[in-house]
Amino acid sequence: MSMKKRLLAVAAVSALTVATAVPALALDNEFHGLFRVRGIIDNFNDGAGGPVGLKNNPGTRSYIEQRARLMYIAKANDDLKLVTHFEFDSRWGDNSYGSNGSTRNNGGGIGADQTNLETKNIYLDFNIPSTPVNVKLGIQGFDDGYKGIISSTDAAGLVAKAKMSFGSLGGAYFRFDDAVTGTGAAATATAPASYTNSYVGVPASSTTAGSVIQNSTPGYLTRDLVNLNAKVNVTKDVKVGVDYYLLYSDVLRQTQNRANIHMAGINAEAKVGPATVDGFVLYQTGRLGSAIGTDSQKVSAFAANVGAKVKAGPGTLRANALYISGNRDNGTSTRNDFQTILERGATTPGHAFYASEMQIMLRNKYNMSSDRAVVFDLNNGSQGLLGGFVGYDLAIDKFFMNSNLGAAAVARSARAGSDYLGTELNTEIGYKMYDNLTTSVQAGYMLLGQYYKPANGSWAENPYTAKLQVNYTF
Amino acid sequence: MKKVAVMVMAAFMMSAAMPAFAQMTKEEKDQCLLASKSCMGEVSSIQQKMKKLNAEIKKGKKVYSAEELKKLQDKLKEAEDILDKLNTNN
Repeated sequence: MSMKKRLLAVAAVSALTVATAVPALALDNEFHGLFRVRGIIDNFNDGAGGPVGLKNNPGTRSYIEQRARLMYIAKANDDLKLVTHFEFDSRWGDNSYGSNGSTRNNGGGIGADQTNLETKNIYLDFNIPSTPVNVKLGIQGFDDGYKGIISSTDAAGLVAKAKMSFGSLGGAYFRFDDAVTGTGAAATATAPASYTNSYVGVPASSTTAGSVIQNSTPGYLTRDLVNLNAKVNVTKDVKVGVDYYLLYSDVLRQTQNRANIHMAGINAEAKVGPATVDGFVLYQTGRLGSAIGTDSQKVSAFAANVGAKVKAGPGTLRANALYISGNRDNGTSTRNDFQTILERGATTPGHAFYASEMQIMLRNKYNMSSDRAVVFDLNNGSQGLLGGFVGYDLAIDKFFMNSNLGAAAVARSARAGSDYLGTELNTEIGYKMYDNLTTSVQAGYMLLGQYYKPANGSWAENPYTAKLQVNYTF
Repeated sequence: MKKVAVMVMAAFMMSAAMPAFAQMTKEEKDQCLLASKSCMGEVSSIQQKMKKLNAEIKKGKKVYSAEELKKLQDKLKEAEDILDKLNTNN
């Protein structure tokens, strides 16, 4: 073979090698998403989040919201992928061209053009070679193992989980806040209201509300969450999990002692005949922040849940009971109200209990920008909550119906009179147009309990809601 | 030159035949679902992905090993979580 022919042969083999190698390097691209439109008629929502402001004559509101979520997953292989998730929310007619000086939850006004892209998640998901460890690194959602009452939000952090023969071992770290206020004129900033709420370790009744933060050093004033967990598969049908959580905050360290809330929890799930039963118990201890030189309040609080799901007739019967401990007197040395996590404003909680399937009493899983509830924060103004919820899900061919009944009271209150918050009845009736497109009508009514009995004058109007929803996921 | 041409042709034929051969020996296994391999051109909605995973899991131990079945079940759980995250407010 001449030199020229040898070169030709080498070139041909090289080309083949490259050609066969390319598929191995190619990314597996996954696109998923959601598009939801809701027409809302009710007497308590207003396009924003927060507790319901119960009134005697609140008036009726009717408007339309939409949400799009786009998820792109760049999968290098089964052990490595980047997950990105974005969101666009608008209320029809709200604003366009950025003319209201706000970006998110906008763009439904005439003209539409609006910068309103929100980042939900951007994180790397990878397995460490030759180990059973999976790591998720970046801005992500976090499954707290307690039906969302600790954390049901997105945050920046690291989650590691190792699969073991008996179940799994895991750990997580999240940085919720890093309160840098910049330099110069921006170096002095009034703390957002939430920095003085009990969630961050400073009692809401404290005189420190509106504390001034001056800081230009990243990592100096922070609020963090740490978790260690273990899950054990006791049998094929019984799983038990144990957790330790530390919620730490020194966001107000310039004027406050730091807050440390320790949580110990146990959760379990078991299949018993045709039923699935699950539940948890969480205990909190530690200290809330307080003005430097004063004694911090101790925390001794707990939360508990039991739930069940069973096939009944043509559908599925669900039930859940939830207890969140409350406090009668916030001036004492020990607080018994369960400390919940809020985000940076009182209208954005970092937790939820969607298993209740309430539409008015508690936050609903389908809520978008309109995200109001009678008990919005499960701490419930330090009063806690005792609630029972039952539901029935039915699907016949392409039709489905989910109906729920819930009743709740405050766990402990300094108020005289009844603790009974009320009873809610709601239903969703829908039709599956395609595998991934559903339309449904949702309606709910809450009969206010004696807790809301006015000292004098008229009762607040019972809250109600009716919604028409179109939901596409892919 | 003829020898080179034959070698190149043979190499091409082998390279083209390999994936087909792999599919022939394990035609019941969905390598895209199982190991994110051979997914070229695959664009599945989350519902389609869940349907496919359920169908593969149903094939059971006749086709998949216990370890592979566990992997498919984990992937189904992952897909269910994605659908839940898309639908749920937070």
